[in-house]
Amino acid sequence: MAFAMRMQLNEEIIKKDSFKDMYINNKRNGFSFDVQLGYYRGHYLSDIDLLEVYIDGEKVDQEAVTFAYRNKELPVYKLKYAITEFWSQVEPATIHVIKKGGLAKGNHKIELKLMLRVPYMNIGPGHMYMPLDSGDVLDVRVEE
Amino acid sequence: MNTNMKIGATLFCYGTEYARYEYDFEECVKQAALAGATGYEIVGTQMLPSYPNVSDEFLGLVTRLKETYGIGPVSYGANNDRGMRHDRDLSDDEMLADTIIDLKTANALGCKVMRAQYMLSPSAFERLAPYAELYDVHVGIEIHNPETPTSPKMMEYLAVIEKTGSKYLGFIPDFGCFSIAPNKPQWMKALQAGVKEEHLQMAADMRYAGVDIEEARAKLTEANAHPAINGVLQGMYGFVQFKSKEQLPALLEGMKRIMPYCFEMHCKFHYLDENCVEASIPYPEIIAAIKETSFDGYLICEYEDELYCGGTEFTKRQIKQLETLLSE
Repeated sequence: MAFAMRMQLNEEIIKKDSFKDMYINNKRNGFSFDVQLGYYRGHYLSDIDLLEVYIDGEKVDQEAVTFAYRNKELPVYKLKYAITEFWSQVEPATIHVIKKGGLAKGNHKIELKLMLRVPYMNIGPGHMYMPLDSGDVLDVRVEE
Repeated sequence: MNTNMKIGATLFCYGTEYARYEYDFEECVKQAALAGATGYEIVGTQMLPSYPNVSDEFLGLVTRLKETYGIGPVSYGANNDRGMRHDRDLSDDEMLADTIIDLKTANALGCKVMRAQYMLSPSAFERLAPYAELYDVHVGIEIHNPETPTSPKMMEYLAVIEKTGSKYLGFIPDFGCFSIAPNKPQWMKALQAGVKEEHLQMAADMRYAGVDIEEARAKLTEANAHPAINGVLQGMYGFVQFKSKEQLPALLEGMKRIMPYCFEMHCKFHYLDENCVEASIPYPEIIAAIKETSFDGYLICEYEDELYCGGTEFTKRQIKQLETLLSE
Protein backbone atom coordinates (compact mmCIF):
# COMPACT_ATOMS: atom_id res chain seq x y z
CA MET A 1 0.00 0.00 0.00
CA ALA A 2 1.18 3.54 -0.73
CA PHE A 3 2.01 5.92 2.10
CA ALA A 4 -0.85 6.70 4.48
CA MET A 5 -0.83 8.78 7.61
CA ARG A 6 -1.47 7.01 10.86
CA MET A 7 -2.24 8.85 14.07
CA GLN A 8 -3.21 6.40 16.70
CA LEU A 9 -3.65 8.62 19.74
CA ASN A 10 -5.69 6.01 21.54
CA GLU A 11 -4.26 2.51 21.88
CA GLU A 12 -7.56 0.94 20.85
CA ILE A 13 -9.21 1.84 17.56
CA ILE A 14 -11.45 -1.23 17.83
CA LYS A 15 -12.68 -1.26 21.40
CA LYS A 16 -11.93 -4.80 22.62
CA ASP A 17 -14.62 -4.83 25.27
CA SER A 18 -17.30 -3.82 22.78
CA PHE A 19 -17.07 -7.00 20.70
CA LYS A 20 -20.29 -8.98 20.96
CA ASP A 21 -22.45 -11.47 19.15
CA MET A 22 -25.29 -10.24 17.02
CA TYR A 23 -28.57 -12.11 17.22
CA ILE A 24 -31.15 -12.42 14.47
CA ASN A 25 -34.41 -13.98 15.59
CA ASN A 26 -32.74 -15.13 18.80
CA LYS A 27 -29.94 -16.96 16.98
CA ARG A 28 -26.30 -15.98 16.78
CA ASN A 29 -25.82 -14.69 13.25
CA GLY A 30 -23.00 -12.18 13.33
CA PHE A 31 -21.17 -9.75 15.57
CA SER A 32 -20.57 -6.08 16.22
CA PHE A 33 -17.78 -3.92 17.61
CA ASP A 34 -17.13 -0.26 18.33
CA VAL A 35 -14.56 1.84 16.47
CA GLN A 36 -12.92 5.11 17.47
CA LEU A 37 -11.57 7.28 14.68
CA GLY A 38 -7.76 7.25 14.81
CA TYR A 39 -7.07 10.96 14.37
CA TYR A 40 -6.96 14.18 16.38
CA ARG A 41 -10.27 15.48 14.97
CA GLY A 42 -13.53 14.18 13.59
CA HIS A 43 -14.47 13.62 9.95
CA TYR A 44 -17.54 13.71 7.78
CA LEU A 45 -18.51 10.15 6.89
CA SER A 46 -18.05 11.16 3.25
CA ASP A 47 -14.29 11.23 3.96
CA ILE A 48 -14.33 7.44 4.32
CA ASP A 49 -12.80 6.00 1.16
CA LEU A 50 -12.74 2.37 2.21
CA LEU A 51 -14.42 0.28 4.89
CA GLU A 52 -14.08 -3.49 4.75
CA VAL A 53 -14.20 -6.28 7.30
CA TYR A 54 -12.14 -9.47 7.05
CA ILE A 55 -12.61 -12.63 9.09
CA ASP A 56 -9.43 -14.71 9.22
CA GLY A 57 -8.29 -13.04 6.02
CA GLU A 58 -11.55 -13.52 4.14
CA LYS A 59 -13.48 -10.43 3.11
CA VAL A 60 -17.05 -10.18 4.35
CA ASP A 61 -19.57 -9.33 1.61
CA GLN A 62 -19.96 -5.56 1.62
CA GLU A 63 -23.77 -5.68 1.94
CA ALA A 64 -23.45 -7.62 5.20
CA VAL A 65 -21.53 -4.76 6.86
CA THR A 66 -23.13 -1.60 8.28
CA PHE A 67 -21.88 1.50 10.05
CA ALA A 68 -24.04 2.76 12.93
CA TYR A 69 -23.61 6.18 14.51
CA ARG A 70 -25.97 8.39 16.50
CA ASN A 71 -29.07 6.28 15.88
CA LYS A 72 -28.46 5.83 12.16
CA GLU A 73 -27.34 2.57 10.61
CA LEU A 74 -25.90 2.99 7.13
CA PRO A 75 -24.85 0.46 4.51
CA VAL A 76 -21.25 1.09 3.49
CA TYR A 77 -22.09 2.37 -0.01
CA LYS A 78 -23.96 5.33 1.49
CA LEU A 79 -21.03 6.61 3.55
CA LYS A 80 -19.50 8.50 0.64
CA TYR A 81 -22.72 10.48 0.20
CA ALA A 82 -22.97 11.38 3.92
CA ILE A 83 -21.58 14.92 3.67
CA THR A 84 -23.68 16.14 6.59
CA GLU A 85 -22.95 13.32 9.05
CA PHE A 86 -19.95 14.28 11.18
CA TRP A 87 -18.16 11.53 13.11
CA SER A 88 -16.65 12.86 16.32
CA GLN A 89 -13.29 11.33 17.22
CA VAL A 90 -14.42 10.68 20.80
CA GLU A 91 -17.73 9.00 19.92
CA PRO A 92 -17.11 5.48 18.63
CA ALA A 93 -19.27 4.13 15.80
CA THR A 94 -20.52 0.56 15.77
CA ILE A 95 -19.77 -1.84 12.92
CA HIS A 96 -22.38 -4.57 12.49
CA VAL A 97 -21.51 -7.70 10.55
CA ILE A 98 -24.04 -10.31 9.48
CA LYS A 99 -22.51 -13.80 9.48
CA LYS A 100 -24.80 -16.76 9.34
CA GLY A 101 -24.34 -18.92 12.44
CA GLY A 102 -21.82 -16.48 13.90
CA LEU A 103 -18.12 -17.16 14.34
CA ALA A 104 -17.13 -20.82 14.85
CA LYS A 105 -15.60 -21.95 18.13
CA GLY A 106 -11.92 -21.07 18.39
CA ASN A 107 -9.61 -18.14 17.70
CA HIS A 108 -10.30 -15.60 14.99
CA LYS A 109 -8.67 -12.55 13.57
CA ILE A 110 -11.10 -9.75 12.74
CA GLU A 111 -9.60 -7.04 10.58
CA LEU A 112 -11.18 -3.67 9.88
CA LYS A 113 -9.77 -1.86 6.87
CA LEU A 114 -10.70 1.78 7.25
CA MET A 115 -9.19 4.45 5.01
CA LEU A 116 -10.13 8.13 4.96
CA ARG A 117 -9.09 11.29 3.20
CA VAL A 118 -7.74 14.12 5.33
CA PRO A 119 -9.92 16.67 3.53
CA TYR A 120 -7.84 19.78 4.22
CA MET A 121 -4.46 18.22 3.45
CA ASN A 122 -4.19 18.54 -0.31
CA ILE A 123 -1.16 16.57 -1.55
CA GLY A 124 -1.33 16.99 -5.29
CA PRO A 125 -3.16 18.51 -8.20
CA GLY A 126 -6.92 18.18 -8.17
CA HIS A 127 -8.76 15.97 -5.73
CA MET A 128 -5.73 14.38 -4.01
CA TYR A 129 -5.71 14.33 -0.22
CA MET A 130 -3.55 12.72 2.44
CA PRO A 131 -4.75 9.16 3.03
CA LEU A 132 -5.41 8.27 6.67
CA ASP A 133 -5.26 4.68 7.86
CA SER A 134 -7.63 4.15 10.79
CA GLY A 135 -7.77 0.37 10.48
CA ASP A 136 -7.22 -2.15 13.25
CA VAL A 137 -7.11 -5.86 13.97
CA LEU A 138 -8.82 -7.68 16.80
CA ASP A 139 -8.11 -11.19 18.06
CA VAL A 140 -11.27 -12.89 19.20
CA ARG A 141 -11.76 -16.18 21.03
CA VAL A 142 -15.13 -17.89 20.71
CA GLU A 143 -15.70 -20.40 23.53
CA GLU A 144 -18.76 -22.16 22.20
CA MET B 1 8.22 48.31 24.22
CA ASN B 2 4.93 46.52 23.49
CA THR B 3 3.62 44.60 26.50
CA ASN B 4 -0.07 44.38 25.60
CA MET B 5 -0.02 40.85 24.28
CA LYS B 6 -2.07 38.17 26.01
CA ILE B 7 -1.20 34.52 26.46
CA GLY B 8 -3.70 31.79 25.65
CA ALA B 9 -3.68 28.12 24.70
CA THR B 10 -5.50 26.03 22.18
CA LEU B 11 -7.23 23.05 23.75
CA PHE B 12 -5.66 21.10 20.87
CA CYS B 13 -2.62 20.98 23.22
CA TYR B 14 -4.52 18.29 25.15
CA GLY B 15 -5.57 16.34 22.06
CA THR B 16 -3.87 13.13 23.16
CA GLU B 17 -5.38 13.19 26.65
CA TYR B 18 -8.76 13.97 25.07
CA ALA B 19 -8.55 11.11 22.53
CA ARG B 20 -7.66 8.73 25.36
CA TYR B 21 -10.63 9.88 27.44
CA GLU B 22 -8.23 10.98 30.18
CA TYR B 23 -9.55 14.55 29.82
CA ASP B 24 -13.04 15.62 28.88
CA PHE B 25 -13.73 19.13 27.59
CA GLU B 26 -13.96 20.53 31.12
CA GLU B 27 -10.61 19.05 32.12
CA CYS B 28 -8.97 20.57 29.01
CA VAL B 29 -10.27 24.02 29.99
CA LYS B 30 -9.19 23.49 33.59
CA GLN B 31 -5.68 22.43 32.56
CA ALA B 32 -5.31 25.44 30.24
CA ALA B 33 -6.31 27.71 33.13
CA LEU B 34 -3.90 25.96 35.51
CA ALA B 35 -1.09 26.36 32.96
CA GLY B 36 -1.69 30.11 32.96
CA ALA B 37 -3.74 30.69 29.79
CA THR B 38 -6.09 33.68 29.96
CA GLY B 39 -8.24 32.45 27.07
CA TYR B 40 -8.44 29.43 24.80
CA GLU B 41 -8.90 28.39 21.21
CA ILE B 42 -11.32 25.58 20.45
CA VAL B 43 -10.91 23.55 17.28
CA GLY B 44 -14.46 22.84 16.12
CA THR B 45 -13.80 19.51 14.41
CA GLN B 46 -12.02 18.28 17.52
CA MET B 47 -14.21 19.26 20.45
CA LEU B 48 -17.63 20.49 19.34
CA PRO B 49 -20.09 17.62 19.90
CA SER B 50 -22.54 19.01 17.32
CA TYR B 51 -19.98 20.27 14.80
CA PRO B 52 -20.27 22.32 12.63
CA ASN B 53 -22.97 23.88 14.76
CA VAL B 54 -22.84 24.65 18.44
CA SER B 55 -25.70 23.63 20.73
CA ASP B 56 -27.24 25.65 23.55
CA GLU B 57 -26.19 22.86 25.88
CA PHE B 58 -22.54 23.27 24.91
CA LEU B 59 -22.75 27.07 25.18
CA GLY B 60 -24.10 26.55 28.70
CA LEU B 61 -21.11 24.37 29.52
CA VAL B 62 -18.70 26.99 28.15
CA THR B 63 -20.35 29.66 30.33
CA ARG B 64 -20.24 27.49 33.43
CA LEU B 65 -16.56 26.66 32.87
CA LYS B 66 -15.75 30.33 32.46
CA GLU B 67 -17.35 31.01 35.83
CA THR B 68 -15.46 28.10 37.40
CA TYR B 69 -12.00 28.47 35.86
CA GLY B 70 -12.00 32.08 34.74
CA ILE B 71 -11.25 31.51 31.07
CA GLY B 72 -13.40 31.26 27.96
CA PRO B 73 -12.99 30.82 24.20
CA VAL B 74 -11.23 33.69 22.43
CA SER B 75 -10.62 31.99 19.12
CA TYR B 76 -12.38 29.43 16.95
CA GLY B 77 -10.25 27.03 14.92
CA ALA B 78 -12.17 26.33 11.73
CA ASN B 79 -11.23 23.66 9.23
CA ASN B 80 -11.82 24.16 5.55
CA ASP B 81 -12.51 20.65 4.30
CA ARG B 82 -12.33 21.23 0.58
CA GLY B 83 -11.91 17.50 -0.06
CA MET B 84 -14.95 16.31 1.91
CA ARG B 85 -16.80 15.04 -1.18
CA HIS B 86 -15.65 11.71 -2.61
CA ASP B 87 -15.81 12.81 -6.23
CA ARG B 88 -14.55 16.38 -6.48
CA ASP B 89 -13.33 19.39 -4.54
CA LEU B 90 -15.90 21.76 -3.10
CA SER B 91 -16.42 24.85 -5.24
CA ASP B 92 -15.70 28.37 -3.99
CA ASP B 93 -19.47 28.89 -3.50
CA GLU B 94 -19.66 25.79 -1.32
CA MET B 95 -16.50 26.64 0.64
CA LEU B 96 -17.84 30.12 1.30
CA ALA B 97 -21.20 28.76 2.49
CA ASP B 98 -19.49 26.33 4.90
CA THR B 99 -17.24 29.09 6.23
CA ILE B 100 -20.27 31.26 6.98
CA ILE B 101 -21.56 28.41 9.17
CA ASP B 102 -18.17 28.55 10.94
CA LEU B 103 -18.64 32.29 11.48
CA LYS B 104 -22.01 31.64 13.11
CA THR B 105 -20.45 29.09 15.45
CA ALA B 106 -17.52 31.38 16.30
CA ASN B 107 -19.92 34.23 16.99
CA ALA B 108 -22.16 32.08 19.22
CA LEU B 109 -19.09 31.03 21.22
CA GLY B 110 -18.16 34.69 21.68
CA CYS B 111 -14.93 34.41 19.68
CA LYS B 112 -13.72 37.55 17.92
CA VAL B 113 -11.06 35.65 15.98
CA MET B 114 -11.35 32.63 13.72
CA ARG B 115 -8.56 30.58 12.17
CA ALA B 116 -9.16 29.62 8.53
CA GLN B 117 -6.98 27.45 6.31
CA TYR B 118 -5.69 28.09 2.83
CA MET B 119 -8.04 25.51 1.34
CA LEU B 120 -10.37 28.53 1.35
CA SER B 121 -9.25 30.23 -1.85
CA PRO B 122 -8.28 33.92 -1.93
CA SER B 123 -11.40 34.74 -3.97
CA ALA B 124 -13.74 32.93 -1.53
CA PHE B 125 -11.87 34.66 1.31
CA GLU B 126 -12.55 38.00 -0.34
CA ARG B 127 -16.29 37.25 -0.53
CA LEU B 128 -16.27 36.33 3.16
CA ALA B 129 -15.46 39.89 4.27
CA PRO B 130 -19.02 41.32 4.52
CA TYR B 131 -20.19 38.26 6.48
CA ALA B 132 -17.22 38.43 8.84
CA GLU B 133 -18.07 42.07 9.50
CA LEU B 134 -21.72 41.22 10.25
CA TYR B 135 -20.71 38.55 12.73
CA ASP B 136 -17.87 40.66 14.13
CA VAL B 137 -15.39 37.81 13.72
CA HIS B 138 -11.88 38.49 12.40
CA VAL B 139 -10.84 35.68 10.07
CA GLY B 140 -7.13 34.92 9.78
CA ILE B 141 -5.58 32.57 7.23
CA GLU B 142 -3.19 30.32 9.10
CA ILE B 143 0.41 30.61 7.87
CA HIS B 144 1.59 27.09 8.57
CA ASN B 145 4.97 25.58 7.78
CA PRO B 146 5.98 25.10 4.91
CA GLU B 147 4.26 28.42 4.08
CA THR B 148 5.92 31.58 5.40
CA PRO B 149 4.65 35.18 5.77
CA THR B 150 6.16 36.00 2.39
CA SER B 151 5.55 32.80 0.42
CA PRO B 152 3.67 33.29 -2.88
CA LYS B 153 0.44 31.67 -1.66
CA MET B 154 0.28 34.02 1.33
CA MET B 155 1.00 37.00 -0.90
CA GLU B 156 -2.21 36.20 -2.80
CA TYR B 157 -4.17 36.53 0.44
CA LEU B 158 -2.32 39.73 1.28
CA ALA B 159 -3.42 41.17 -2.07
CA VAL B 160 -7.05 40.36 -1.23
CA ILE B 161 -6.75 41.85 2.26
CA GLU B 162 -5.28 45.05 0.90
CA LYS B 163 -7.78 45.19 -1.97
CA THR B 164 -10.87 44.85 0.25
CA GLY B 165 -9.47 47.08 2.98
CA SER B 166 -11.57 45.01 5.38
CA LYS B 167 -10.40 44.98 9.00
CA TYR B 168 -11.92 41.51 9.26
CA LEU B 169 -9.59 39.65 6.89
CA GLY B 170 -6.04 38.88 7.95
CA PHE B 171 -3.54 36.26 9.04
CA ILE B 172 -2.64 33.96 11.89
CA PRO B 173 1.06 33.05 11.67
CA ASP B 174 2.02 29.69 13.14
CA PHE B 175 5.57 29.95 14.48
CA GLY B 176 6.43 26.50 13.19
CA CYS B 177 7.22 28.37 9.97
CA PHE B 178 10.24 29.92 11.73
CA SER B 179 11.87 26.58 12.63
CA ILE B 180 15.63 26.66 12.31
CA ALA B 181 16.49 23.15 13.49
CA PRO B 182 15.18 19.61 12.91
CA ASN B 183 12.05 18.54 14.75
CA LYS B 184 13.29 16.98 17.99
CA PRO B 185 10.50 14.42 18.61
CA GLN B 186 10.90 13.03 15.09
CA TRP B 187 14.67 12.85 15.66
CA MET B 188 14.14 11.03 18.98
CA LYS B 189 11.68 8.58 17.46
CA ALA B 190 14.07 7.81 14.61
CA LEU B 191 16.89 7.06 17.08
CA GLN B 192 14.56 4.74 18.96
CA ALA B 193 13.67 3.00 15.70
CA GLY B 194 17.36 2.27 15.12
CA VAL B 195 18.47 5.15 12.87
CA LYS B 196 22.07 6.21 13.60
CA GLU B 197 22.60 9.79 14.77
CA GLU B 198 25.26 10.33 12.08
CA HIS B 199 22.66 9.56 9.40
CA LEU B 200 20.15 11.97 10.95
CA GLN B 201 22.83 14.64 11.03
CA MET B 202 23.68 13.87 7.41
CA ALA B 203 19.99 14.31 6.47
CA ALA B 204 19.78 17.61 8.37
CA ASP B 205 22.98 18.90 6.76
CA MET B 206 21.65 18.08 3.30
CA ARG B 207 18.37 19.84 4.11
CA TYR B 208 20.23 22.95 5.30
CA ALA B 209 22.28 22.84 2.09
CA GLY B 210 19.13 22.72 -0.03
CA VAL B 211 19.79 19.28 -1.49
CA ASP B 212 16.78 17.86 -3.36
CA ILE B 213 14.80 15.25 -1.33
CA GLU B 214 15.28 12.46 -3.87
CA GLU B 215 19.02 13.06 -3.97
CA ALA B 216 19.13 13.13 -0.16
CA ARG B 217 17.19 9.86 -0.02
CA ALA B 218 19.59 8.23 -2.48
CA LYS B 219 22.66 9.37 -0.53
CA LEU B 220 21.22 8.07 2.73
CA THR B 221 20.45 4.71 1.13
CA GLU B 222 23.98 4.62 -0.21
CA ALA B 223 25.26 5.28 3.31
CA ASN B 224 23.17 2.31 4.56
CA ALA B 225 20.88 4.41 6.71
CA HIS B 226 18.08 2.58 8.51
CA PRO B 227 14.82 2.75 6.45
CA ALA B 228 13.10 4.58 9.34
CA ILE B 229 15.01 7.67 8.23
CA ASN B 230 12.50 8.10 5.41
CA GLY B 231 9.71 9.36 7.68
CA VAL B 232 12.07 11.93 9.22
CA LEU B 233 13.26 13.01 5.80
CA GLN B 234 9.66 13.49 4.67
CA GLY B 235 9.08 15.77 7.66
CA MET B 236 12.28 17.74 6.99
CA TYR B 237 10.95 18.58 3.53
CA GLY B 238 7.29 18.84 4.57
CA PHE B 239 5.27 20.18 7.49
CA VAL B 240 8.19 20.38 9.95
CA GLN B 241 10.82 21.70 7.57
CA PHE B 242 13.44 24.16 8.78
CA LYS B 243 15.57 26.96 7.48
CA SER B 244 19.07 28.05 8.39
CA LYS B 245 19.54 30.57 11.18
CA GLU B 246 20.86 33.06 8.64
CA GLN B 247 17.42 33.12 6.98
CA LEU B 248 15.60 33.97 10.21
CA PRO B 249 15.96 37.79 10.14
CA ALA B 250 14.37 37.95 6.67
CA LEU B 251 11.51 35.67 7.78
CA LEU B 252 10.85 37.84 10.83
CA GLU B 253 10.91 40.96 8.67
CA GLY B 254 8.25 39.29 6.51
CA MET B 255 6.11 38.77 9.60
CA LYS B 256 6.51 42.40 10.63
CA ARG B 257 5.37 43.46 7.16
CA ILE B 258 2.01 41.66 7.58
CA MET B 259 1.71 42.46 11.30
CA PRO B 260 -1.02 45.09 10.81
CA TYR B 261 -3.21 42.24 9.51
CA CYS B 262 -2.34 39.64 12.16
CA PHE B 263 -5.18 38.87 14.57
CA GLU B 264 -3.46 36.19 16.61
CA MET B 265 -0.27 34.16 16.79
CA HIS B 266 -0.01 30.38 17.04
CA CYS B 267 2.94 29.63 19.26
CA LYS B 268 3.66 26.13 17.98
CA PHE B 269 5.88 23.90 20.07
CA HIS B 270 7.01 20.30 19.83
CA TYR B 271 9.45 19.88 22.69
CA LEU B 272 10.62 22.09 25.55
CA ASP B 273 13.37 21.08 27.92
CA GLU B 274 13.30 21.71 31.67
CA ASN B 275 14.61 25.22 31.10
CA CYS B 276 11.53 25.91 28.95
CA VAL B 277 13.47 26.28 25.70
CA GLU B 278 11.87 25.05 22.45
CA ALA B 279 14.21 22.75 20.56
CA SER B 280 13.74 23.99 16.99
CA ILE B 281 11.72 27.23 17.05
CA PRO B 282 13.70 30.34 18.15
CA TYR B 283 11.25 31.98 20.56
CA PRO B 284 13.58 34.68 21.97
CA GLU B 285 14.11 36.12 18.47
CA ILE B 286 10.44 35.77 17.46
CA ILE B 287 9.03 37.43 20.58
CA ALA B 288 11.66 40.19 20.41
CA ALA B 289 10.52 40.92 16.84
CA ILE B 290 6.83 41.07 17.84
CA LYS B 291 7.61 43.37 20.75
CA GLU B 292 8.82 45.92 18.23
CA THR B 293 5.33 46.05 16.72
CA SER B 294 1.97 47.16 18.11
CA PHE B 295 0.48 43.65 18.07
CA ASP B 296 -1.84 43.35 21.09
CA GLY B 297 -3.69 40.11 20.38
CA TYR B 298 -3.37 36.62 21.77
CA LEU B 299 -0.29 34.44 21.67
CA ILE B 300 -2.00 31.05 21.50
CA CYS B 301 0.21 28.17 22.62
CA GLU B 302 -0.17 25.16 20.34
CA TYR B 303 1.44 21.84 21.15
CA GLU B 304 1.74 19.25 18.44
CA ASP B 305 2.14 15.93 20.20
CA GLU B 306 4.43 13.89 17.99
CA LEU B 307 5.60 11.91 21.00
CA TYR B 308 2.03 10.92 21.98
CA CYS B 309 2.91 11.80 25.56
CA GLY B 310 0.19 14.38 26.13
CA GLY B 311 0.53 18.14 26.29
CA THR B 312 -0.07 18.99 29.93
CA GLU B 313 3.52 19.47 31.09
CA PHE B 314 4.86 21.00 27.86
CA THR B 315 2.02 23.55 27.75
CA LYS B 316 2.95 24.74 31.23
CA ARG B 317 6.56 25.13 30.08
CA GLN B 318 5.57 26.98 26.91
CA ILE B 319 3.43 29.50 28.80
CA LYS B 320 6.26 29.98 31.28
CA GLN B 321 8.68 30.61 28.42
CA LEU B 322 6.36 33.21 26.86
CA GLU B 323 5.74 34.94 30.19
CA THR B 324 9.49 35.18 30.72
CA LEU B 325 10.18 36.51 27.23
CA LEU B 326 7.37 39.06 27.46
CA SER B 327 8.61 40.34 30.80
CA GLU B 328 12.23 40.80 29.67
